[in-house]
Amino acid sequence: MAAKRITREYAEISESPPSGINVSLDNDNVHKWNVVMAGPEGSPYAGGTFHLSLTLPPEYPFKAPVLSFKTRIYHPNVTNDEKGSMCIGILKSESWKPSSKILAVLLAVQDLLREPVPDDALEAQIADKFKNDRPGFERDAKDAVKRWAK
Amino acid sequence: MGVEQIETVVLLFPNIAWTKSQKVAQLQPDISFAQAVNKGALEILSAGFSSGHDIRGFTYVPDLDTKSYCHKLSESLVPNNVTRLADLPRSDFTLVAVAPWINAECTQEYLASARAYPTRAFLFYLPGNSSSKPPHSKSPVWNLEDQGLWKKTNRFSVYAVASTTGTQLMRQLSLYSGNMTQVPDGHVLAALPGGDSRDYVRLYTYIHINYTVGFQMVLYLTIIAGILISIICTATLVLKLVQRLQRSDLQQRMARGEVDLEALGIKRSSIAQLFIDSLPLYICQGAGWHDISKTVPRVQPLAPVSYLSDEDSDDQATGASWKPSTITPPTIPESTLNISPELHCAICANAFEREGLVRRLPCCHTFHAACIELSLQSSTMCPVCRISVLPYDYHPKITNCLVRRERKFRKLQASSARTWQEQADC
Ligand SMILES: [Zn+2]
Ligand SMILES: [Zn+2]
Repeated sequence: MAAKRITREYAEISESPPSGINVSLDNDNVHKWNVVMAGPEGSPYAGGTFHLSLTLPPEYPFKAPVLSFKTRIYHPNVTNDEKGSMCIGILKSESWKPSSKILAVLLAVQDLLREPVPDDALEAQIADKFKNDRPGFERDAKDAVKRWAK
Repeated sequence: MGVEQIETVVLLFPNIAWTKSQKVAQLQPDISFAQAVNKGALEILSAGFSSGHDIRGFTYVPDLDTKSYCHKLSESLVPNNVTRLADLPRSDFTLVAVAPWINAECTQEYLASARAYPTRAFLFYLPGNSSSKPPHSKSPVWNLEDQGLWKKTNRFSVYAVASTTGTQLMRQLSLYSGNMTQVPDGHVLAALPGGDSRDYVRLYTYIHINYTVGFQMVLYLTIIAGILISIICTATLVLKLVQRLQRSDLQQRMARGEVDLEALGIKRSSIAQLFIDSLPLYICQGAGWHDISKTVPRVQPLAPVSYLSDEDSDDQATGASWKPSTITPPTIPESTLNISPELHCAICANAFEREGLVRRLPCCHTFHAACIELSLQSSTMCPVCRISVLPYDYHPKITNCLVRRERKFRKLQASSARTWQEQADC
């Protein structure tokens, strides 16, 4: 059932992809998606291209997918390392519902790039900067995009 | 623990060779002898192996070898007719020995003699000393020149009393050693009711041991035991309280549907099946949903429960609805049906096919029967709105064992989730 649903979701997204999001399968494995996300316009990440990896557990949709940034990113909710682990509400085990869709997850990531959630941060320093020195944060984020996401 | 007093009295002791029922009687001091030595007038030379209880016994002077030098030395100090072992009833009565401390060698001989009998204490005195107190126990006069070995070889206690006390005892021992007619006031004693001239009239010594320290010890131990008991009680209470909180926490999480009951040994499949069976079951068909479950839905629909795909509509239009004869009539009047043609099962994302079995949860969300059964294996919540499927009155008996198992399972799950994700979980 999982594979069928994933295939259907994959078909839906690849047929009419949301703007700035592109998905492909990793080695034809429906449980491993490569996501390419453009930095949303109006955000410090605009102009950057971010590669993400989406892993769907065998128990999907009863268990939440796991999403991580392969492209390094300067963001309060993504670990600023090669792992690029991220914290996003919809994927938390206590809020994940089997009816949640991958599309919703990807859109939530886009939202997160537009508007970070510093209160739920993985990088406390970046969150502090975001809260207290917005221009400085945006400058650093843009620098990081130039360095890593071009 | 110390000696409070050494008391010597005269006992009238039945001669069991003649009488049987007569009781031992302590004679009144006015017609006999009585002596009390308080702790200030005595020295403890060796505590022996005393058990801390009062010591008592017939007073006597141990025999020395008549050919020995010490026997000769003692002749002037110990009257010839003092109470000897031979003057006492022939039985295993406990004894208290009395002797002059002549010199180390003779004391050793006296001690050796006393060891041969059930002697419980030995009273020594320095002859010819007019002091009302014996020399201090640490005084060199009490040195037996064997590095104190004698204190270990003699199980009985050894005391020193003043010379006058010892001399007086020695004199009384010589007075109370013969038969009744020979002892002081013997004729009065023999005339006492029940008296018999063949009874023994002998000195008897009590050594009263002070229990104060022992009592303090008991008090101390009682306090410790009390503290221990209260600690144990408090700990037990706290534990019970914690367990109670844990149980109610588990109960609440269960009520919210966050707990994987099957992992706790509660057969979820059976629970799930129980609930699934209680959920309204419908067959999807052209005309709408027909409840084929035996139970009548408890919850009246609050949301649309009948969905028709386009094909279904066609079927309805052609009147080719699938209708087995056994089917019960729809529980929901057709007039309330809110037809929504584009509805899919939120779990598998597939449309509801005609003739497929669907189930409706109490929250009115509908799924393929197979899909929701699968979902209920891992969560008792509705996959769409996260409302618990469990009836409000469902409370499995929550035991401490269940709490432990649940905690262990959660830990296990957390660690396996970490390894599986190889990433920081949110
Ligand atoms: Zn389904
Ligand atoms: Zn629901």
